[in-house]
Amino acid sequence: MTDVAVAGYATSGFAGETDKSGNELVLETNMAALENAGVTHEDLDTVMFTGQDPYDGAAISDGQKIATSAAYRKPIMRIQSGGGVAIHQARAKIRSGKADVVTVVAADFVTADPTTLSWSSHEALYHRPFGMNNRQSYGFFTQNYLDGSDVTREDLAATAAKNYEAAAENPTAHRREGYSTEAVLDSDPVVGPLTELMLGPMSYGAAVLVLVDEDVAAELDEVRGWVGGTGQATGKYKYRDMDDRLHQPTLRDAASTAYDEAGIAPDDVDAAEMATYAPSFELLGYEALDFCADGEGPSLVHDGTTAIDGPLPVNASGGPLATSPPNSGGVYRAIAACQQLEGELGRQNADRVLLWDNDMHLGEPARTDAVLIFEEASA
Amino acid sequence: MTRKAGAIGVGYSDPETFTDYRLSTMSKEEQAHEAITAALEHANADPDDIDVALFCTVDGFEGTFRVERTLEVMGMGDDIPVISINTGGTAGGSGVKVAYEYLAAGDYDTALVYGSPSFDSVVEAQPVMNTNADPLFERNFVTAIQMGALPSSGYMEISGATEEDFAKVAAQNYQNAAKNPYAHRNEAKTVEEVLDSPMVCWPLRRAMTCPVSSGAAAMVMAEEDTAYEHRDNPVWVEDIDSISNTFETGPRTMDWFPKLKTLADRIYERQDIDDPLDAFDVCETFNPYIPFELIEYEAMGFCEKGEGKHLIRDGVTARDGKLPVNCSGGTLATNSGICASLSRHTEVVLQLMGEAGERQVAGNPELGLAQSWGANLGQFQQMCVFSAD
Repeated sequence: MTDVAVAGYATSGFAGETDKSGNELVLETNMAALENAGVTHEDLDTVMFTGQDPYDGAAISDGQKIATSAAYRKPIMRIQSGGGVAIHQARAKIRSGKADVVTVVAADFVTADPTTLSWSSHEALYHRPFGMNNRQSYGFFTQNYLDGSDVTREDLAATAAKNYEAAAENPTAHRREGYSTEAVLDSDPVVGPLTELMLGPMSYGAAVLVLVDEDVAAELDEVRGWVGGTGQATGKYKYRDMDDRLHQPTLRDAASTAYDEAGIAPDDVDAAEMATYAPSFELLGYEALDFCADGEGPSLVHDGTTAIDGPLPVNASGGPLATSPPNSGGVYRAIAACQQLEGELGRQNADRVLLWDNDMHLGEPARTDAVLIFEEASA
Repeated sequence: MTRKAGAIGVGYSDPETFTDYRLSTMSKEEQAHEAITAALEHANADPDDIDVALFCTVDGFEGTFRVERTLEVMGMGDDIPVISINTGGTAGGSGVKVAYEYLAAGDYDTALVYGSPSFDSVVEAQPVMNTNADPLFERNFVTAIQMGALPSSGYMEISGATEEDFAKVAAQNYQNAAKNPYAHRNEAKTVEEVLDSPMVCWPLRRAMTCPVSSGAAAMVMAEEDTAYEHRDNPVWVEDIDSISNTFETGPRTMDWFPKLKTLADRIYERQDIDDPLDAFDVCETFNPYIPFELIEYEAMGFCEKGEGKHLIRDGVTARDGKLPVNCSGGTLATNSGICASLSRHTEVVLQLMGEAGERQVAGNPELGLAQSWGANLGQFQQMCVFSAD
């Protein structure tokens, strides 16, 4: 089975609005990514599109991006479960012999209210009538976390501030103001214990990743990294079993598969990018990924372990609290992981970066978790 | 070295669910449970045997954003990945493709592909479908029926095919549908009845266009070693591929399906197929507007361009002909959204297993072809070559 490399990537950068059309964003970012990878659109075998119809404001929205994503006369596939899952499947395209060069293309460009859209992803008879949406689910989850542990709102705010500190150094990030713990606590209350700065903004922009098989990689001058291991799992849509949800079994399952496939232990990870839509997910994510024992999550923030200058930086990009484009977040986080392998993001040169992506922008129940290990060297 | 992979079981929701979407009495969860349970039983498999589930749909038609998240039956096993696939009308075929790639690559051993009864949620699907067209120049003028009528009238001009030819193809599908318990329109309409139906949009009469149906389909697939643990006669995926056309329809000629021809040529070259009419024993095509079936014969190389009418006049594609096409009655008889594109594949699998009931073709079919069509004016084309064990 061939190894799969990240040959190149590009992003447009992210902000709270865009004056470009979706096709302008995709064309510019796609061309930049192909150039960055050292391949042409003629080398490209297939395109993996990660947009979701409601965010794009159109049915079968992948069709609109055929020309600008260089998919004309080529196969295009569209996975709606997030960038991490799309990369996971794109790798399978290469390893099954169906393609040698695959792009994973994502863009956010239609002005949308992600909270209202997430409401339309909830169960129609019992949950929509009382307004359940993504932020409600994060608040419910986080309040239960606080109730069952010694974790405080100050711990949550410190975790958020750590992300904002990193984002301030990242020119691609959306929120770059470097908010402090106090600023996070003082921002507007939203739901349960969560304030506005404990939640992500709606970000607009595009991201493209170019994956190649090992033969193509050998012909290129350099590649950005290798996909060393992957895993994914989906939880059931249920609201009542909070103990199970706080344990995050699907993340543990996906991580275990990815660690096994990469032949590594959690200690071997140098940095991580996580799709943490509230600070509680980051603290519990440390535990589910075995970065620390259960219950020890907040200590990694307080002792600086996961700070941008710590021994295990988490979200050197600033994470979803700083940059949260629902279609392109996962692809962007994969790019941020590769940038850390190259010393272009954060303050270290990592040999191995873990990406935890998920589709929790729609809410926590029924989440799909994907864990991918990006490595500097081919296995 | 990639692994061999194929289908080990297929299933549908209850025959009564294949009806007018407005008359559907089953919820999405119930239809999914029925189809998936039937596919698992057919595959001699348990829910825990499934490693990954591919949910195929178009979100706008579902009325729920990412509806698979609230369908517990999709993840019946132990927190398996449930992945949402949306490529419009080809989404069912895309699900088979993703499953095949996962199995061949070694990521998973067993996969479930589910085709949703997409159309039974929204009050009016047409405005949703229109969002798929160019917003400035095309959205206000093109609806589903024009998507069918434009290529059909263009095709009449280049081919000399007549209304009677179209009616013959339609009647052939209806005769087949009458033998298929999972067909929505299962009255064996005649050529005369088709021609007597009201004109909807030239040259399409009502009986030449598909209904809007409910009903669900599922397929269980596995890699080679696992497949033989479940059945003695898996149906293998020999090749599966797709192709994209422009989003704007201005550059298109509206007289044929040239991208489908390109796709077919690529597949036949890889599979060393010189004469597809001779090579294939059974075929299911995407024929929601009946002239498409003739266009597809030609684009997929069953005959020369413009000659499709002779295949129907001579009975070549009838159930007892040289290459039986759409023995299920096709999408013309049953258009349950994305289920309809997966059904092209499930029907070929049943034929190659020799388990298609009354609609089974004679002999022992060994090589089958499934095709689907989707997105803005057939922007996407997809084909899959299956072989019997």
